[in-house]
Amino acid sequence: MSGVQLQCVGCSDSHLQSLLLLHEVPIVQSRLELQELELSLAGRRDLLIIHPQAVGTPEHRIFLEVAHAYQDRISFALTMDLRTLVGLQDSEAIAADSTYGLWVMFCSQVNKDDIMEDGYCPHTMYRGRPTLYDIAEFVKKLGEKSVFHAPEDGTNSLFGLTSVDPIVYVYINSEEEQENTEIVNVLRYDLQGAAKVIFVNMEDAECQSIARQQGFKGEGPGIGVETLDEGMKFSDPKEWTVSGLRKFLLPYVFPDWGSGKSSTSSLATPDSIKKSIDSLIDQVETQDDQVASAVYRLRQKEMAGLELVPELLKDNFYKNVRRSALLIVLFYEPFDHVSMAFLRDFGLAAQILAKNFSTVDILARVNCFDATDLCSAENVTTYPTTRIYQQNTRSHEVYRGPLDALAVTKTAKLMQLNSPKQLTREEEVNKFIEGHHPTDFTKLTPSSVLFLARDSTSDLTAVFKEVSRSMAQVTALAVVHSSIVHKIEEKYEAPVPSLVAYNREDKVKPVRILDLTQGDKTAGSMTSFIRASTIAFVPELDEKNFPHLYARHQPMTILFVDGSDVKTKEAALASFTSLAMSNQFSATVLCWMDAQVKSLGLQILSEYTWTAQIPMVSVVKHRHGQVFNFKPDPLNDEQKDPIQSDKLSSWLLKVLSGKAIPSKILEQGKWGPPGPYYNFLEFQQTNTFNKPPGIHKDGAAPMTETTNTSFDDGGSTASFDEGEEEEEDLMESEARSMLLELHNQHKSPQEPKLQATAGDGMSVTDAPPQHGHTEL
Amino acid sequence: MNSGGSRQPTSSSGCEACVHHDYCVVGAGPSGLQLGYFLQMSGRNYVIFDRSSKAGSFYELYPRHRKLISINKRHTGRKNAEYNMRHDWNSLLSHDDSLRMTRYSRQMFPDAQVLLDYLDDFQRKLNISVQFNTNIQNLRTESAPAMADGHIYRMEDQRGQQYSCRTIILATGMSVPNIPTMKGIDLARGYESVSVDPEDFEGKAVLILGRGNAAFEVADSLYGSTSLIHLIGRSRVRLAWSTHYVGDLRAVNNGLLDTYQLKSLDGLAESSLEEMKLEAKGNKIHLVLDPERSDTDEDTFDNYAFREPYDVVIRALGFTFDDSIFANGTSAVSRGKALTKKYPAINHNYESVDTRGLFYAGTASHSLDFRKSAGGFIHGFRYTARTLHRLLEWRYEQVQWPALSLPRLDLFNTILRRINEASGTYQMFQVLGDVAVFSKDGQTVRYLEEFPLQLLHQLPEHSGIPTPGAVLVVVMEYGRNFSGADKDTFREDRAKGEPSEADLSNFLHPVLYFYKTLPSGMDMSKKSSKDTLPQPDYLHHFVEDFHAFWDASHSHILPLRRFLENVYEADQREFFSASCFQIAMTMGNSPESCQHRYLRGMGLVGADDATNFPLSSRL
Repeated sequence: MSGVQLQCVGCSDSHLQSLLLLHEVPIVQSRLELQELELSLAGRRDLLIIHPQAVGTPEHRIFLEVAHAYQDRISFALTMDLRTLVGLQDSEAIAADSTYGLWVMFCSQVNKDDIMEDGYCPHTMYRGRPTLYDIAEFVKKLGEKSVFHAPEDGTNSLFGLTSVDPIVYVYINSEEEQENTEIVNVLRYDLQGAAKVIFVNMEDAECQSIARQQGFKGEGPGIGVETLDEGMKFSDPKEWTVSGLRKFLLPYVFPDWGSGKSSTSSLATPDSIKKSIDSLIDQVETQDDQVASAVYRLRQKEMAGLELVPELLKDNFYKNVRRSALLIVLFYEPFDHVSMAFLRDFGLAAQILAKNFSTVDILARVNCFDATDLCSAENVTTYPTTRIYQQNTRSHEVYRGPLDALAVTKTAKLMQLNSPKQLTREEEVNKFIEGHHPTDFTKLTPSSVLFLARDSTSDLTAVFKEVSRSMAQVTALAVVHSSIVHKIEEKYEAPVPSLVAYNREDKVKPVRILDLTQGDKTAGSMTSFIRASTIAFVPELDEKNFPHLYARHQPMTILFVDGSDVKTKEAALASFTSLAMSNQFSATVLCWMDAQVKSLGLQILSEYTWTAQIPMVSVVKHRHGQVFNFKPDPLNDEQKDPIQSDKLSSWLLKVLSGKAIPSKILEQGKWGPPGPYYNFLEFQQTNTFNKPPGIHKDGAAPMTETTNTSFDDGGSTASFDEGEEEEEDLMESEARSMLLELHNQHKSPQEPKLQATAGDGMSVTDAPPQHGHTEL
Repeated sequence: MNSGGSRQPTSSSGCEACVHHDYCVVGAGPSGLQLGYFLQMSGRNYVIFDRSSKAGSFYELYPRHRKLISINKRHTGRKNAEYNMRHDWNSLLSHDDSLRMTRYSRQMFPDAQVLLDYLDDFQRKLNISVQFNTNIQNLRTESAPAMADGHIYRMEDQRGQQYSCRTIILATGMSVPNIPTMKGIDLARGYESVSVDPEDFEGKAVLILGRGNAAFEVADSLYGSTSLIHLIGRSRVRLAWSTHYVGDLRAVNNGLLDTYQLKSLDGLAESSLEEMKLEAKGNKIHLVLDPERSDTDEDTFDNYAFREPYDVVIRALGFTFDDSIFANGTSAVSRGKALTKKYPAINHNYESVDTRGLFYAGTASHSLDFRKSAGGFIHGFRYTARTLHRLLEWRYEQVQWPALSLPRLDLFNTILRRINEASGTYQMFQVLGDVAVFSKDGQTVRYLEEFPLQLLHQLPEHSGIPTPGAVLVVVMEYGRNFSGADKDTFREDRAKGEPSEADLSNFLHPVLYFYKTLPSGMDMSKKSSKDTLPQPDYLHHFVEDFHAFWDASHSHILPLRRFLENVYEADQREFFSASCFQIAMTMGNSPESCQHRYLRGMGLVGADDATNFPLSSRL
């Protein structure tokens, strides 16, 4: 088995084609993006959206082929994230046992207000078989008239209607039809593309008479369904409910639903045992670990820069450590995917150091499998472990930064500053604050931290120096000589003793002071202050600073702004920053995220709310899994204060004091096993894998020491029953020809005219940004 | 470090004239030296007695034709020192890299003199305390209620010097030639004294009693000179490559199988020697049925296999344990049952079944794994000596079994490292195994290496490590029905390649047994003799590997993660920082790896080309 790969199941001739089609169908990444798309289609076009189990599955490929043929009439989209589909009909059933989920969103039949009110377009889940033929037929029928009214559409012609699809008769009078909107919509939307629906007005004598002839005995409302196989069947009048009607109609309209035939896997492998074994093997041996997958994918790609990172063994390790002024050593385990991913970064870091800073011989590595004795002696038990060795120090420091080339590079250069520096002249202090003393370190850290004390022998000075040992990897640190402390304290209006931090990139509050004359004087408080000095006062929340903000153990107040709307964004940020500067909210981390289309911020926001007006503020109490969404006043003049600071301020105080009710409780991930395992105890009891010796799951013999047969690591060669195989192949082939023909017709000279229709072919990626507020 | 003895006051040893040691090891062969090394390193009061003047004196005589049959593989293609010990069968364990037999000889099967030189260096360089020229006799116990075992050991040497020891470890090997009770056996020359000069056998018909490595070693050295060689043994020859037991006939010695099977006069036959006798007629020796012991009349058959007389008969029937060290009447030594009767009977903690405080090391302890594993040979008992030392450390010194403490997330890599490098569990397969002891909440483990599997149910008592939660045992196993003298180990389907069929693996492969609670003594006693351990709650097999190296991303590593995830009922996947961030922002909790790394500021960012992985819908 290889790792994450495109699966080629079924027709090889369609595989390449489907790959080419991949870019034509947009990928929707969040619930809010789906709503954006629905709003853009309101009143114009319907949408088919699929959630395949993986890219390249048969269902995905079929979907792309159908999309290719019908994209001029219907919009198509796919999502890999089930959360995008939350709220759609039966979406909760998808994860459990389906290889895919496909929905039709009838956006052409509603306007934006309807969508905003309901949260989504009226829709139905596709319940037919996932073959190319069936899906193509279904989509084709979506464009056909399928709902009729008798007598308006002609009583005799309707009752004489013949169809390969089931015909559903709805015996109902006009008043009841208006009163039972929900049921009527079920009949209208759920059956579209799969059945004909005839509303029979029971107030009409002729209709009533024919209904009686059909065998309908009630007065209405009621349902009858006529199929080629079953003839006429009537529902129990008691089942005149949404669920009752669905239950009644499902076996007639979607006879394959729930039988197992609605999965391509069952079609492909009629032998249930083989299917079950193959399925288990696929589930166990298909890589679902991001890091392992990336490492495996890149295994043949040479790790650049490693020639600059000497490999140390027991016999040369201590010598290298002793003779190096600074040596950062990565201890890694070749079986460990994180180690191997970081090793690649380590090589890149060595390259950056060499090219950008002319710094070499500062990084080294120890392969803890080769040097198992060394790693054991050095008590390295966690991989990867990175240690910083400095000459003339008693022990090493552990690198505790991100496993990232740039972070390692910065740490290496910061360590060469030998913090804390002793600053004896005011000019040195100024240059240090500017990031230019003892060398230019402005690219390494945004901050400089000064320790002010009159007594260089105090306990506090010792604490600071101890803290500096570990924090020297994070930023530049210095001790101001007591002779000039008075000047510096005056300049920064800082008490003595204190820590003064200057963040060169923070325009809001560049100078921060930790008063050490009173309160918390511990190493912990100094460490937190120094760490905070590297982060903006109101930071843009991202993956890099989140762990440090999270470590503050405070709720996060997040302002979501649309980065593409610069004016509103700046206004919102200005108001938000003012709020932060008011010193009322020291109990929360005030930060912001860009939530423009396609951004991670929008994905996150869509988890907090279905309807949002951007800019929007949410408070997240991560440790309680609580989200509080600020509801602005709809009548506000948002040009002046897009976040309504006053109202926000009082709401925030209420939230922080625990008096508000959460808008949402974040889902508690179970984080259980993501896949099954080989239960050998069970196998031994049930003889599950009682296969002929040496037979590979795909019928090929594995290349072991007992065979010379080449190993077939390709896709499934699922076996069909011969008769069924021929029939399925024929239908697929015919369907494919039909679709290609259809597509080619669209490429006829009329095509530009069709595509000229406003909004046609619009995808999520190219949808115009919805500036200002996105009403969802 | 205190390895010297002391004159103990009467109150302690009950003997003012005695030289007292806490640990007295008898025998300065490889197992005695190995144990001495560990005692030395832990600073114990110990001594090794040896009746000869140099270490490993057994090897001065044996093997008679001087070629060792333990492999001396100098190159493995790997730098890992621990891994390389998997293929170095002669070296002892120590911290000194220069003390490797691979540095002493370039021969795959070195001369025995090299081993003698090596053992001598080992003893001297590591300053192991050996009292040579000391023949310990009259070993006995004397009551001493204050001592840990309620008695103390007393003994004398040939000079009358008295010794007292709290703990005795006999590492005397198997040195007494095994001589059957057949009539006329004195006509046979013993392996221990037979000439090793082929010239002495020129043109002679030779009968060798025995069909083990010693018998074949003699045959191999002679069959170019003799007119014929017949070997006779009780049962069919057992080839080591078929049985996977290195005490059976090794390929290095089996040249006579060729001349036998190709009908070139030499022969191999099975018969019970107890029913036969040797008779001298002139200068020839006849092997005939003993009418007093056999019901068969050989005159019935005129094609009797041994109807031709022999010029020379050689006895090469192996060795048995020498119990002459014990005081008359002590009868300290019960013997093993059935096939192991030549060995002293011992418990799985290497202690005599008869007397507390008396332990066995080396070949003398092989009754525990005879015909199963490598405990009778240097490459096996160097590990059991370490195991014994660890057992002694807890029992007498209250030093816990060394154990690595890990968060359970790190157990994954620890297992992968150990199954690929550990030599002790590799050589002593199905006897020693690694044990991960989980904390009560299952979040951390203590990882013990090379614990005796048959003591698993008593792990806390023998290691000092409590077992508040589950335990995971990592062992190496051959397929249950793969090894055997009558098995075709070259059959076409001898190996599996599919991870899903790993439990059908035949060659040595790692197996993981997970128990929610420590198995009980009852569980251990109920298991069949073919089972390594009782039935676990979860079981995992790594599929056997042609390289015996389990590093394949999908075939080895991924199924292990799946197994551990299902055991833990927890997601053990690793995530890039971006994914951890998204999870932390949108869910009420994060997977273990994100908590372990990312939320502590040590997330894996990933090079640009590494992070091209869609955030799975399973997130």
